[in-house]
Parts: sequence; structure tokens; C-alpha cells
Amino acid sequence: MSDKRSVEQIAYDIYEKPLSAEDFQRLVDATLANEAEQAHIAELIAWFTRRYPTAEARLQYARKHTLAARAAAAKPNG
Amino acid sequence: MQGNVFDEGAFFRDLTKAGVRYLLIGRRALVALGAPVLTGDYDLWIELDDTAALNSVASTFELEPDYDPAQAGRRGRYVLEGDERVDVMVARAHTTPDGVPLEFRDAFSRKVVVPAYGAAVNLPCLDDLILTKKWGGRPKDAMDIAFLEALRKADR
Repeated sequence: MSDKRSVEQIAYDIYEKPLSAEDFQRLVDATLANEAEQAHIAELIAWFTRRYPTAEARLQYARKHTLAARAAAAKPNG
Repeated sequence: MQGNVFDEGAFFRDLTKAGVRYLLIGRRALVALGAPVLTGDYDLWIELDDTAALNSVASTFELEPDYDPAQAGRRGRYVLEGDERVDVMVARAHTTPDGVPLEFRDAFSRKVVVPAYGAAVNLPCLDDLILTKKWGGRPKDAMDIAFLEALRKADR
């Protein structure tokens, strides 16, 4: 059976759809208990803080990527 | 296409100069602390009495409020919109779905100040930022809490 939801709806359901307090805490606990996930997050933080060692550099990184994503989205067929 | 008139550094500097009591919350606060997460907007939690001062600063960046200060106060939040979108929370306190309250003035008194752009950027302390992530209760907030807990470990 195919999934009839739009891409936007699927993304919303995965990332944005509010959970009950119990389900949310279960998800937090499961994420924190997942050693592979924790190791990956630690690696990402280590890279990011090494590459961008100050808060200002990190904020500039985020802003640069936000503007680039908007520019790409604004292009015809982008 | 016109350029984006929003200057992030000038915005934070002007907030500091104007004496706006604010906390940068949401994913941009995670970014400032060291988590490489994506976000398209800004989330501020401010002292309700500073709404007009924030709007005055925002107007110089062509950001306009969707509600006037009195209406925003009744609603607890409003949005500044222009080349950027700034979600502004003005509620004096908020409670997590599992019943943990957080008052702005308490969070502001525990704030972490990070230097950026020649300004002092105000962030909630880690414990308070984690509470704010529980307000939304979305799957991405759970992932953000995992990043914040990892930042806590990395800081030890």
C-alpha cells in the first residue's frame, strides 16, 4: 500500500507533530539510551565546535546556510 | 531580487544597547552552544514589559509585529516578520506538559551570556533550555534535548 501523504506532511509527522507528554519522554529516554546515537551526536558536536570555535562563528554558519537554502528554494524549479 | 536587510550582529548589538531583557531560545540557541542543527527562524523569550523596546529595535531591520504589545501580552506570543521571522514569546511563565513551570525572570537570572558580534547574546542555562524544548513536545525537540545533554557531557 502506498503512502498518500505529501512530502511536507510526512516531514511534519516525523519531526514536528506534537507528542503526548508520555510519548515525548519515552522518545527522549530512548534517544539518550541509544549509545550509537549518542556517539554520533558527540562526534557532530566535536566537529562543529572544532570547525567553528566561537558562538559568533557558529551563528554565522547557521545564517549562511539558511540564506543559501532560501536562495535555492527561490530558484525556478529549485 | 533585493538583498536581505537583516544584520544578525547589529540586531543583537541593538538589543543589548536598548536594554531589552531577552533570551535566545530554540534551535539557534543550540547552534550558539555548539550543536549543528538546522533552523530557519529566531526564537526569543522576552520580558513582557520590553515588548515595545524590542519592536522599536526590530523596526530598524524592517521587521514588523503581527500584534501590538497589548494583544501580544494577552496571547503570550507574537511574530516579527520581514526578511527574517522572529518568534517572540512574552508569557511571564510557561509550564512543560508534565507540569514543570519556568518563569522568565528566573530563567533570565540564570542566563548564560556568550560574546558574539561585539554584543552579549543571552541564552538560557542548559537546564532551562532543556525545559523550553519540552514545551513543544515534538520529535525534533527530543533530538535537541539529546544534543543538549551531549553538550553538557562535553563541557564536563
